[in-house]
Formats: sequence, C-alpha cells, structure tokens
Amino acid sequence: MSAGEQLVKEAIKGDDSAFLQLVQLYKIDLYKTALSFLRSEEEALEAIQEVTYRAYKSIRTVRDASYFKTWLIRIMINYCNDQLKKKKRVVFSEEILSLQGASENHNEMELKDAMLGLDERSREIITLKYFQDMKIKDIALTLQCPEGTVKTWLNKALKSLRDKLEGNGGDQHV
Amino acid sequence: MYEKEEEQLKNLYDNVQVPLDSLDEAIFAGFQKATSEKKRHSIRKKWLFTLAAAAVIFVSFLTSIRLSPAFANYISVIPGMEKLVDLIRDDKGKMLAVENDYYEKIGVSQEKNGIKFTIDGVIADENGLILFYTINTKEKEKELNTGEVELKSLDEKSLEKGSSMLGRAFYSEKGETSHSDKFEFYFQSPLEVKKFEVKVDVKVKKQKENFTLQFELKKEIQQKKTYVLNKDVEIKRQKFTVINVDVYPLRVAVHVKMDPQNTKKLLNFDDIRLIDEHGETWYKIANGFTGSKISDDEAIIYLQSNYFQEPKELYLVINKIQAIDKEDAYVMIDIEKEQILKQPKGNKFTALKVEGDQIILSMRPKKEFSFDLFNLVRDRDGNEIDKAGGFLSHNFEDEKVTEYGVSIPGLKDKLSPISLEIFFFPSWIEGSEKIKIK
Repeated sequence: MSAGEQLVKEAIKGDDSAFLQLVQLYKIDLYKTALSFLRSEEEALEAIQEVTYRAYKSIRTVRDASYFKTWLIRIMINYCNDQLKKKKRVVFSEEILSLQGASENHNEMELKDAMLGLDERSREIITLKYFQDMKIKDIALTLQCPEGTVKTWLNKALKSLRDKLEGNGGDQHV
Repeated sequence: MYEKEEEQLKNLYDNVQVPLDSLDEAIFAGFQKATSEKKRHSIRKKWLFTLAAAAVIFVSFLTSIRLSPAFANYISVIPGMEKLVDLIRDDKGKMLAVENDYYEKIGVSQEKNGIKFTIDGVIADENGLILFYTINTKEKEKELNTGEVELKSLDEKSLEKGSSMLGRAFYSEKGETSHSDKFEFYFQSPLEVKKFEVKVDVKVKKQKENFTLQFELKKEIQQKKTYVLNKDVEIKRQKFTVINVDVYPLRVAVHVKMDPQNTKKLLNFDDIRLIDEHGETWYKIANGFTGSKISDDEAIIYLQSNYFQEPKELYLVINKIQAIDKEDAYVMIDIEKEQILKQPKGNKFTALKVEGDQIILSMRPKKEFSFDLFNLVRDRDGNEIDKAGGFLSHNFEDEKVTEYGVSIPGLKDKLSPISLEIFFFPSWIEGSEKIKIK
C-alpha cells in the first residue's frame, strides 16, 4: 500500500491530520481545476474552502483509497458545475468567439472561454484528462463507465472544443 | 486528430500562479467549518467516556446563553476570568458557582520543552470536579491536542470515578499561543479526596509531552440538597415516577423510574426544566452530560443547577419526552443484502448502506435531530456485538438527509439479521406536568 493510501485509510477512520495532509497533497490540483472552471482566483479559493468542507463531511464515502484523488477532484468538479449553473455564465462567450473568427493558434483566453462553453460531461472529461493528467482507464473507473465510452466522450469533447474555437457554434450537429 | 488542442490543453494551467498562503487559509477555513460542526454532531470522537457500571451516558451540545450584566461586571474586576467564563457561558449553574466564589483558583503549572500546562482552577462538589486549564506554547499554534488524562487521589481516600469528559483538539486559523479548556470528572461516590494528581498528554505537531501536576482543594465542599418526591406522573398514558431531585453546585440530578407496564419506551426527556417562583428557568445541561440511564426503566437527568439561588418555591416541569412503542424499539437489517428488514412504524429510515465496518441509516428528520440513535447491537443469535462508536453526518448532496451510523469492528463477519436497539428517536409524547419540589 502506498503512503498516500495509508493516509486515506487513516483519514476515513477519522484522523484529522491525515485528512489535512491529503488535502495539502492535492491542493494545487484542486486549485487548478477550480480555476479552469471558475476563472477567478477569489472564486477558486472559495471553492477550495467548500470542497475541503464537503470532503471532510463525506470522507466515509471513499470506497477505494487508490482513487482518493479523483474522488476529491470530482467533488470539486461537481461544486464548480453547480456554481456555474447558479451564475448561468456558461454561455457568455459564444458570440464573442464567433465574432473573433477562427484562427490557427487559439490563444489561452479563447481556449479557457471555449472550455466554459462545453457541456458538463465534456468539461469534466477534459479536466480529468488534461489538467489532472489522468489515464483513460482511471477516468473510466472514476466515472464508472467503460473505457470505450470515455474515449468516445473525449473525442466528442475535443471536437466540440475545436468547433467552438473555430467559431462553428455548439455541438448539436455532431 | 486533436493533437494541437490536446497540447494546448495540457499546457493551459501549467504556468498559473498559485497563491499558496490563501490556499492554505481556504483549506483551513473549510476544515474548521467541518470540524466545528462535527464537534456538535459527532458523539464519536474527542470526548472520552469512562462509563459507570451499567449506566449509559448521553451528551448534548446546544447553544450558549448570555452573560448577565451583574456577572459581566463581576468578572471584569478579576483578571483572567474572561477565558474561564467563556468555557461555562452555556451553563447557568456553573456561572452561579463562580459568581458565588465557589471557584477555587489553583495556578499550578509545569513546563516541558516549550509547552506549558497550567491548572487554572477547579470547581468541585460531592459529585463532580471541573478542572480548568491553559496550555501555552512559544510559537503560535494552529492545532493542538490533549490526549490521555488521568485523575488520581494522593490521599488515603480513593476516587470512584464515573463518567468524564476529557481530551480535546484545538484549532485556530490564525494560530494562538494560549489555549484554555476544561476537563470534567464525575464520581460514583461522594468526593472526599483533597489532594489530587493529574496526568495529561499534550500533542503539538510531532511533539508529545506528558505533564504530571498536583493540586489540593482547600475550599469546603458544599453538600448537596436532596428533595425526595416519589411523585407519579402520567403523560399520554405513559407513567413514571420522579423519585428524587439532588441539587449539587455543578448540576441537578433528577432521578426517574418508568412504569414497566408502559406501552412506550421513554427514551429521553427532551423538555424538562426547573422553574422558581419568579418564573426563572433552569434547563438541561446544554454542553455536557445530559443524563445517564441506569436501566431501560430508570434514568437520571441532569439540569443546570440553581444551588446558589435558594428559591422560595421550586417546580419541575416536564413537557416533552422522546418515546417509541416498545415492540418498535429496534431496527433489524441484513448487512449482506443491505436491506432494512424491520423498522419502527412510519418507515422513517429511508436507506441503508454498509461501508466497510460502518452501518449507515438515512433519515429525513423534520427538524435537526442530533442524537446517536442506537445502543445495543445484536447478531442473528442474539449475541451482543461490540461497537466502536456512533456517528452522524449530513449528506452534502441533500442537506435534509441525516445519516446515522454505527461502527462495528469486523462487521463483515457478523451474522445477519443484525438488530440495533433504538436509544434515541424522533418521535415524542407531549404534555405539561408541573411538580412541586419545594
């Protein structure tokens, strides 16, 4: 068992310092995930606070210590999706994007905006795959679906991301 | 196919500036929010109990009450009293004890490798002893724990210990150099010891120190006042007898006996109080031991004390009791199939989960119901199963759902059906009984 898994076991049993060490271990990942969704440092920090709270409250629901990190990231993603829904900010950039038109090298800002234009599942998949650097196999386990499905979703997500970047609008005609 | 996008995505958040300090603050704030709630809800950790023979002790954590102006004035003239008062603010009786100069200042301390443990003072009566302490550290600490605590007699008289409330984890976002709290000890026979030794472990980060301190009580112990009542009461056709009321400086103990013929099991006296001739009221202990159960049909309930008030008239008022039909007072489950086989009428439990060593039952109580629901656990053959503790948590996806859990070491190997005896439950009988005490 890795040291991390041991920590998870202790945290599940109610060891507060193990829990804090775990959050320390993944705080940068959590922060970057929050930032990719919420776009502001302030909101990302608020997200970290809330996710720490939620993770602590539901630490008992961790079923497999080796997937603690993805469990944590998913809490973050769920939180962020809820926040975005609340603010209905998701669609803000589509028009701007198409006005800007297609370009060969999409700059960072465009990419970030395009991410926010994606549907929840696509955003989640991209976050796990590229920001958290997870393998397809692990994503499949996290989302509890076959690897083939993850690949299909990932392709769809990348396609709609490209479509958005090239100003083709949504992904309704995939 | 999407190499370009993939490449960009991978690099997108590589060069982000991470505000590490704010990040740690956010983590700490979230952690603190969770642990402070846990302190209210969980009956599992932090408080250690030495259980009296067959008695089961229950604890509650409620809100605090305000300082009376007279008292605020009183403490302002004695230095160092504010921190003490913060610790007993939620208990009128203990505040009265301090106000009546029944608090005994001790001021004994020991220092080890930068950590200093001080016994600030004590309030003791025949039945219990509250020890107020302060831990000082050189550096500001965000987290600090007290571990094992032991109270010993240094006299020839021995201490017959009952329940105690010890051990504590401190958290502070900013970090503090001074942490104050109290240990509570209660005794099975009247306290006669005058000289004590207390041993306590203090943990700060990786450092762990053991302190041994001695102190002596010089103040005379105030004798309890006993009112023998033997008064029969009936609420919704359930009968019980209030045997006697013992008024100690630290708390009031009300001894009740249920009629074995009752159709309902009386679980907890939720609303029981003392009222004097002016209508002044003393409620149950808000933050500490609220009662102990001697048997299914006999219990002691603890109220805040009016020892130092000397009312002309005093009444005991009983309005609301948690009660459940006797044949309904258990839940039967199958842990392999994760099924509830039998539960009280009304099907309040909506779901059962078995996770590792934990049995988790969900409910949607109308109002927050923070009790550890279950007591004895038995396997298929009726053998009693040891449990490690009970806990309670709120489902963050659906705030209205409360999860009540029991931890049982080696749960997997236990034989279903398993039955859990109900100890607290959100169903009540209500009335308005007023009994004259004096």
